[in-house]
Amino acid sequence: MSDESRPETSSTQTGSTLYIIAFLVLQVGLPVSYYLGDEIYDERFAWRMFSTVRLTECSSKAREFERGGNIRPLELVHHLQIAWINLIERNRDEVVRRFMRRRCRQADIERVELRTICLTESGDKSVHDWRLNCQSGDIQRKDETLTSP
Amino acid sequence: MTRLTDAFWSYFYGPVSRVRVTWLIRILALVFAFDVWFNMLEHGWRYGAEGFNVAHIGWLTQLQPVPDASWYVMLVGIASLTAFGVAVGHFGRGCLGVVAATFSYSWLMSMLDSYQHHYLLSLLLACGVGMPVMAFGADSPEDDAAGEDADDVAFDAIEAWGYPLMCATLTLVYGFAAFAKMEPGWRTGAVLTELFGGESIWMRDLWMGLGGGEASFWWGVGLSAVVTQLFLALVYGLAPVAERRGGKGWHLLRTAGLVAAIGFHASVEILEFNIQWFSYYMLAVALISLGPLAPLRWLDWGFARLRETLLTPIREQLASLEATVVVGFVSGLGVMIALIQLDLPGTTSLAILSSLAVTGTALVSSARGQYATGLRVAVVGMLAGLCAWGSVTYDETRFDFYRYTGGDLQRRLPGAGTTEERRRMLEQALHAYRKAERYSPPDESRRDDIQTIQQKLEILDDSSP
Repeated sequence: MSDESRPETSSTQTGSTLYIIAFLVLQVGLPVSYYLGDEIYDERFAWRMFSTVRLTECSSKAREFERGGNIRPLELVHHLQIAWINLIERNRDEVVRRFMRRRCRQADIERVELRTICLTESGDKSVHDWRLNCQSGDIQRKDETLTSP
Repeated sequence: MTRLTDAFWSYFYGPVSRVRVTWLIRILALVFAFDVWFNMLEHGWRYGAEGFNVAHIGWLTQLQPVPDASWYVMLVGIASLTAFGVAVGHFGRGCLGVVAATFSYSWLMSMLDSYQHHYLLSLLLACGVGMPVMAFGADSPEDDAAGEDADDVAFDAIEAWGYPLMCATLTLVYGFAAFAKMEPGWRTGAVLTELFGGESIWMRDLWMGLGGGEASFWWGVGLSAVVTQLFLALVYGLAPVAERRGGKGWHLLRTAGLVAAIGFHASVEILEFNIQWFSYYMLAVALISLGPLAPLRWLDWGFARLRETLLTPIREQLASLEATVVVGFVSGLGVMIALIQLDLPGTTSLAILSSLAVTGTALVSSARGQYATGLRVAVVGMLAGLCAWGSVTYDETRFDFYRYTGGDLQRRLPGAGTTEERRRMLEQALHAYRKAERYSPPDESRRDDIQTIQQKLEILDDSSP
């Protein structure tokens, strides 16, 4: 279509053209950001249905450090709806952080730790640790992959 | 640059078939409405537990209050009823914008809904905003004065940039999905073996009966999934071009795409991937987008005839201020009763809101002398309410909703910090199980759960000072 044959652009068409471009940029950007980023477990917008990541079997354990020095295990199932636990076990960072911060609201808690251990379908093991200092609010995260021999 | 701009312009603003766009939007909206009533409403029980929530977008978590079950039910309820209006009642694209916005927010507000196909559905609905929702055609495909072929886009060409945008969206979705399956786990068939290894699947059993190995079967399935998805990405991307250019080659490409899409999504259903209604959406989109135009035109014409024969005489008889007001009030009352009967958190508010919307639109339309619009909104509104009630009742949505609520509260009981909190949770669980019992199928009574909770509450009462 040449410039002569193309109809004159109206303000409506300018709006729709911007809508189309923004829509497509977003759709390309979201999956690409997954492949360029480090969060391999967060596959939400990457169209990775039934990926190898989903086959990874993970389990999480948490514990709380009381001010007096006591350490107590934190049963996730008693404090969260089961769908959130599934997301924690999939290393969804935002969910882990928010849950740990929530636990810190308890007066006697000094520190919260959460560890998720994952086993991939190829036999590789990975360990993911979060440590939250309730006073400073600092969260440290450490990921370690142990390749199977 | 000019060439690129021209290509963009011609792709998105070139002619598309009215009948394809009309049916695509209507069917998508209709399947969505029933998907909400059959599948999504029961998920509402998960929202608000322990006051914990994380939204898909970080700032949304900070900005919004913690969504609860009633809020979720309200949002998807509004989206589904409006979608039904778009599908059946010829509601405009503004209403489709409401559907896209409310539904998208319903899953964006919480990671509890992380279904990828809900994201896809939002994208498809957002594309719909660029497609005019048009009435069924009145001209018979046989009576075309210009002598256009009923399978030619020129027969009823309109401009609807939403349709090419939907095709481009599907290209990206299938393309990225295929790319994800190029990882070693899929290439070797390990993922599929892990997913279905122990299950009895007739296709695999047949293959093994013919002497093939299990590993080679899953390797073949994995490879064919990648090839099919890449092919579908190509076909959808070229679909608007193929339709405009016509010709045997393009026609063959669309037909091959249709066969591939049906084969792929039917296989997904046969293999029981448990992805709710995702396959049905994709099959509907494939049939309407890639299928031949002529059958769609006949269907469209048939519906137009049906409307003229059955509805037009009634509408003409009722086309008066008094009749529209009466129908508006009766429909408003009807939709309120039907939605209150859903008996889920938030459904009373939804019922009042819907009733006001239906009656209000009927009254405003009749005051403006637009009796046909008023009657249409009133009747379609009531029909939507009845369909919602029928679906929820048929599908045991309420039973599932309340038994899951009760089960979750029981599971979290040891986490209760105080006796008061424990009592509150037990009372909520008891209320949920009593509701579940009311809607339980004959062999799934929740009487035992009710008794157990009652005993726990009695013990709590006895131990209280």
